[in-house]
Amino acid sequence: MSETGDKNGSGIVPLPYTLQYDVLHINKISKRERLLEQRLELDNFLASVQKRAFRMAEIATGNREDAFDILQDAMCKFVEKYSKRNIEEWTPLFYTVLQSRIRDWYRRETVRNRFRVWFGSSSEERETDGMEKVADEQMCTPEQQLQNTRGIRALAQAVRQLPFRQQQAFMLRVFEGMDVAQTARVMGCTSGSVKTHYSRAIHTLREKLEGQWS
Amino acid sequence: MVMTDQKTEQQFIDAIKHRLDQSVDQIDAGTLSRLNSIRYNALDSSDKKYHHRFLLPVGAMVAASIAVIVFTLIQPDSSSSPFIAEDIEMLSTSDGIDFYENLEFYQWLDEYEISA
Repeated sequence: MSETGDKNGSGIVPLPYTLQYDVLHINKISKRERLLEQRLELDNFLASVQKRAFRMAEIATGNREDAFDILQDAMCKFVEKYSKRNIEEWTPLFYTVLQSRIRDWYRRETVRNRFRVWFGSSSEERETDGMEKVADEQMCTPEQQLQNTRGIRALAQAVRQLPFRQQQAFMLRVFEGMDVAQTARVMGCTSGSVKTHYSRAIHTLREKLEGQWS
Repeated sequence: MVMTDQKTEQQFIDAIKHRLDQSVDQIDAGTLSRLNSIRYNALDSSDKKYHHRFLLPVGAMVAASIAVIVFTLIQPDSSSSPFIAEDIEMLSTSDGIDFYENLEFYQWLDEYEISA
């Protein structure tokens, strides 16, 4: 037996009990720090996308409350399923989840609209235009505010009238600034399809809005 | 001609993008507060699920322990059971019921013959 405490002759000197405790304690602390760090990263990411994601949902639905619900669902789902993935993957994954929630909303809305037709009410009655809240405290004249509000409102209405796939392609390419490949990944289709949907969306929007936006 | 059209289209897209970005920057404080609240809820729901994941095996162990204790406590004592081996044999045999009605007599007779 060596004098250094190598009892089994393996060459590895066991740590004294107090040091072993310290090592365990440090491991525990570093694990907790890692968890806190992950949470902070996730929080920063969600904070960076929340406003745009909300606006996207609001333009798609035309209803503030529905947009809040969609965003809540999307965030919860994202945190639950994809928060352990690489940070580089978060943006496309989050928008995939968000678009999936918006699509679900459209499906439910289609069913609801059938009932509304039977009962004689219009879906337009439900629309609460949150876009009117835009620019209320900014440094612009009331005329400019009105113009901004009208412009955004007209755009939102025109976008809502597009077929869903065209809406997706337009919002992801123009609003989110994604390239064709990223958009295709989020939409779950080929790059060619994205180009077609996007081109048709732009063509339709130009026809409807060009007078107001040029 | 094509170049001009492309240029116009790009101007149109830029104008839309600018207006959309503006609408995001100008989101009011009330909306922003709700968005923050939604974000915190999403993060907290993840934490709760994380804790629940550890509670599941603990809960399963507690349930299993309770089941073992209850089973041990209410397990019938075989010595006090009325169903002793003789009864089972009696019930399963095909002998007539008269034999069992006079069983005490036969037992007495058996003991008497032995002692005689």
